[in-house]
Amino acid sequence: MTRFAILLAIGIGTATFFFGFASVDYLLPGILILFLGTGWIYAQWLEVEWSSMVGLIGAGCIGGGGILLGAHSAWMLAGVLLSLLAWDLIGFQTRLSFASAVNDAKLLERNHLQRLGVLTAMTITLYLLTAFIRVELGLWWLILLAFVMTLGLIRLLWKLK
Amino acid sequence: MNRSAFLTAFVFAFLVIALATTNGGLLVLAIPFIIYLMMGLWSLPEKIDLEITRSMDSERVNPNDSVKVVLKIRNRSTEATEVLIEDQVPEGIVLHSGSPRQLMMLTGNSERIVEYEISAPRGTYHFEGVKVKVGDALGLVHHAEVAPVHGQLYVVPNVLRLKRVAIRTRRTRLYAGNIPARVGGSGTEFFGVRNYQPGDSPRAINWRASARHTGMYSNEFQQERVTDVGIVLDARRQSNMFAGDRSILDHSIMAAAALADVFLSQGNRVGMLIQSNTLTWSFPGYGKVQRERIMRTLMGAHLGDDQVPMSLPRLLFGKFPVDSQIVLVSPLITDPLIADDLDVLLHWRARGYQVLAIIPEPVSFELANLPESAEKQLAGRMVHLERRTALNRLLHAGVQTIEWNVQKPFDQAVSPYLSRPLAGHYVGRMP
Repeated sequence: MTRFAILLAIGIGTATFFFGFASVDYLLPGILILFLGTGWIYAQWLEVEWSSMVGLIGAGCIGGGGILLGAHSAWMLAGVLLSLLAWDLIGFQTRLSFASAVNDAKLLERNHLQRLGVLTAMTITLYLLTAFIRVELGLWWLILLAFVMTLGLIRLLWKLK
Repeated sequence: MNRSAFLTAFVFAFLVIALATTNGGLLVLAIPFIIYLMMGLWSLPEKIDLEITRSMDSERVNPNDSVKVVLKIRNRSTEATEVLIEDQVPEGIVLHSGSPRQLMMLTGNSERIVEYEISAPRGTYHFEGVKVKVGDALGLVHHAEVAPVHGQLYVVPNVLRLKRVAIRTRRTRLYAGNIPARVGGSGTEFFGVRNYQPGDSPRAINWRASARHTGMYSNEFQQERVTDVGIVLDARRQSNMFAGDRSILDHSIMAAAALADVFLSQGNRVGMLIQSNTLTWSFPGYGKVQRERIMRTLMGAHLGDDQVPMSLPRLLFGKFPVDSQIVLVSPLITDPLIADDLDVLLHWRARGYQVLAIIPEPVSFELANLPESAEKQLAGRMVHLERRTALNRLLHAGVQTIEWNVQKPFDQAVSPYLSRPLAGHYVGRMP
C-alpha cells in the first residue's frame, strides 16, 4: 500500500510539473523533468537510500524555477506537495519495516495516511485562500514579515534541537 | 540528516529566494512544508510514561539453548503514542526468531508484548536496558531514552555425567566418602587382620586365622573418606589456540565441568584454579553450592592474552593441601622452548601432590582442520611421537596422564580409564 502510494505520488508529481512547464511552452525542460521523475522512481525501486532527499530537493528547485519562469503556481504547488508526500512516505516505510505485527503495521499506516490527507487538505485550503484573499503589501511590510518569519523559524529550530 | 531541520531549511530557502526576487508566488511553495512541520510538532507527546518489564524462560541455560525473552510495555498515559522499542541485547547473543526492535502503536493505558528467542555461547550476559524512542506522528522529532530494565543470562557449560572417578590420595579428610583412606575401620575393601576386640561383629571374625593361631582374629576393612581435589584449568592462549583461530578451550572447560561435578557428587572437597591472563580462583568447598560456584567460574573462563607468556602456577600451596589430588586439564605445551609445563607438573609431583593430567589432544584437533595431504599425515605422526616422548617424562615421575581425542565425547572417551583405580601411570590410547 505504502509502496504503491509512493510511486503514485512521484508519478503524479512529475506529471504536474510537466504540465506546468508545458503550459508555458517549456516543453524540453518538461520532458527533462519526466526523465528525472522516472529516475527517482527507478532509484526508489532499487531502494537507494538518499533518493528521497535528492528527489525532494530536486522538486523544490523545479517548483521554484517553474514559478520564476512564469508557470502557474497551482501546478508547481501540486508537484512540490506530492514530492513532499513521497519523501514522507519513504521515511515512513523505513520506520514501518520495524513494525512487528501486521495489525500494528496496518494501524500505523492508516493513521499516517489520514494525517497526510489532512496535510493535503490544509495545503489546498490555504492555497485557495491565497488565491482569493490578496493584500497589497509594501516592501517594508514584506521585509518585516520575512524578519518575523525568520525569527519564528529560528525559535522553531531551537525548540526542535 | 535531521528531517525537521531539512524541511525548515526548505522553508527558509523559499522565503529568502522570494524576498530576493520579490516574487510572492514562491511563498506558496513553502505552505506544505510549514503545515507539515506544525503537524509534526503538534502531535509530539510531552513525555514518555511507559512501564517496561523483561522476563526470560530461564536465566541459567546451557550453550546454544534457546531462551524466550518477553518484554511487556505498558503505556501509563491516556495518550496514544507511536513507540520504537529496542531491547539492548548484549554482544555475543544470537537471535533466533522475533526481533528485539519493534515499532508499535500504543493506545492510552494499553499493554503490548514483544517476544524474541535467543541463544548464546558460554558466558554471563547483562541486559542493561530498553531503548525507547517516542516521536511525533510524522517522524520529525523524537524523544529517546533508555529505560533501566536490568536482567542477566547465565550460560553455563554443559556438564557430562561421569559415573565414577577412582582416585587415591595419601591424605584424606575426616568425612566418609569413597576414597580408600589407608586406615582400618568400617568399609568395603579388605585392609588386614588384627586381634579380636570385644564388640567386633561375629561376621568380622577371620575363622581361618583364628583356627590356625591361638586367640581370635578379626578382619579389618579400609575406611573410605573424602579428599581434597584441586582442578587446574589451563586457559592460556598459547596452549589453546590452533590453526585457523580455533580454540580447544571449550573442550577443556567441558572436561573440567564434568570432573568437578563427579568429584563433588562423590562428596569430595573441590577447588578450581583457572590459569588465563590472571589466576581465577574458586576456593575449595563441598556440595551443590560449590558446584554452582565452580560452574560460574567456568562460565567466565576465557583465553588469556598472549602478550605476556604465562606459565602454569608452579606453587599450589595455600590453595590445595599437600598430598591432595590435583587434576590438570590442559592441552599441555610439550615444547620446552615455549613453556615449562612438563617441569611444572614434575614440580607438583615432587611436592607430594597426586597429579592427574587430562589432555584434550591438540594434535588431532589441529590436523582435523587442515587439508588432507601426505605431508600433513607425516607431520602429524612426527608431532605425535615427539609428544609421546615428552609425556613419558611425566609417566616416569608418576603423573597419571590421559589423552582425549576431542572428536569423541568426553564421557565415553575417558570413563574406561577413570572408573578404575589409577594405580599405575599410563597414557590413554593415542589417536
